[in-house]
Amino acid sequence: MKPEIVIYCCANFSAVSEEDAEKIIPEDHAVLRISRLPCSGRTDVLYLLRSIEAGATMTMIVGCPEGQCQFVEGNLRARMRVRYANRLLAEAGLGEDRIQMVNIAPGDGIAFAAALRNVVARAREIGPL
Amino acid sequence: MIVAERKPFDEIKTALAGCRKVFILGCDTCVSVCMAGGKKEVGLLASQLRMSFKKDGKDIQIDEDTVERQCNREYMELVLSRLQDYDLVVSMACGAGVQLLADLSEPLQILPGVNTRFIGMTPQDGTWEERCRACGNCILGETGGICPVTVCAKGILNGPCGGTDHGKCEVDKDKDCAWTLIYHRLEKMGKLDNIRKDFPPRNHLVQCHPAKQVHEVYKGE
Repeated sequence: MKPEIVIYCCANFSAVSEEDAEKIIPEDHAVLRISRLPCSGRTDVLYLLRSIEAGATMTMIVGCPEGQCQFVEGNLRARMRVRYANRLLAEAGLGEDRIQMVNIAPGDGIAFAAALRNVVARAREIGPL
Repeated sequence: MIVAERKPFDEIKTALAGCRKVFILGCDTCVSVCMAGGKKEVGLLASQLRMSFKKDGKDIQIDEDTVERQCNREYMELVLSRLQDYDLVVSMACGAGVQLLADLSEPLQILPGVNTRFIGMTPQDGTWEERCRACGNCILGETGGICPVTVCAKGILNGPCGGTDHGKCEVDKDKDCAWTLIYHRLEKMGKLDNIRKDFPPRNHLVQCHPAKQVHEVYKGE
């Protein structure tokens, strides 16, 4: 069964589209859904849980490198929300790494590709809910 | 506002054993502000429970909604008719809201989803501090707006005691001495003479429980 990955992406990371992501992870290997946020700090814990509940195997948040957020601390807030969301998932018995935050410089496609491959590989290991 | 914290997930989940339909009812006033029982927290708990029960292979229907204020009959009447078909309602309100829900929905089974802790304020995002004990004898006007009953570990009205140490409390070195804070606040206000006032013992008669208050307009003839 193909894992479904929901990707919340900071708008600064503008190079990524679903077509781009599918060049990294072929369509028959995983279902990728990319949602662009004005900043990773817009990440909401409820969105993260609901994405897993709705069927995503894993969720990935792409934020700018720490110290480089144009809203100063948006990516730091995102990191804390991801940690909290994973704790809530662990309470529910779903493990504590279904949601992963990665900090990637805007336009660094190589780092994005590596991070995405890691997430897809992990999603294949843990499987869907 | 009233500050609460959500009960541990396992405690809530265990209490739902044997139920087939559960409703989670939030309160969008105090417990929403302290991120314990508002619309978002209701959504998070509902999502957690649905996923957890699904993982356990249990088919339990979890529905959710949030009212403006669970401690107010007018708001509760909007939702009561929807609750009758459920085995249990998890109330995410403070203790007052839980009790009004239980009164109005009798004999429906009610479970509190939060532990109600104190009346407090928000010194910074995500942090709440107790600042009022609802003692019924407010003297904040005399103490520079700092409550000795709440902030002082001993709740003394005529401080400081002998345990103040460079502005810290002997009970906990990380806590400020309330009466030192009061002294400095009064000094800034030009009302340092207030520190000499002798407050009489508190009138505990006004703290009879359960307390009740009726507005004059509603007392009738």
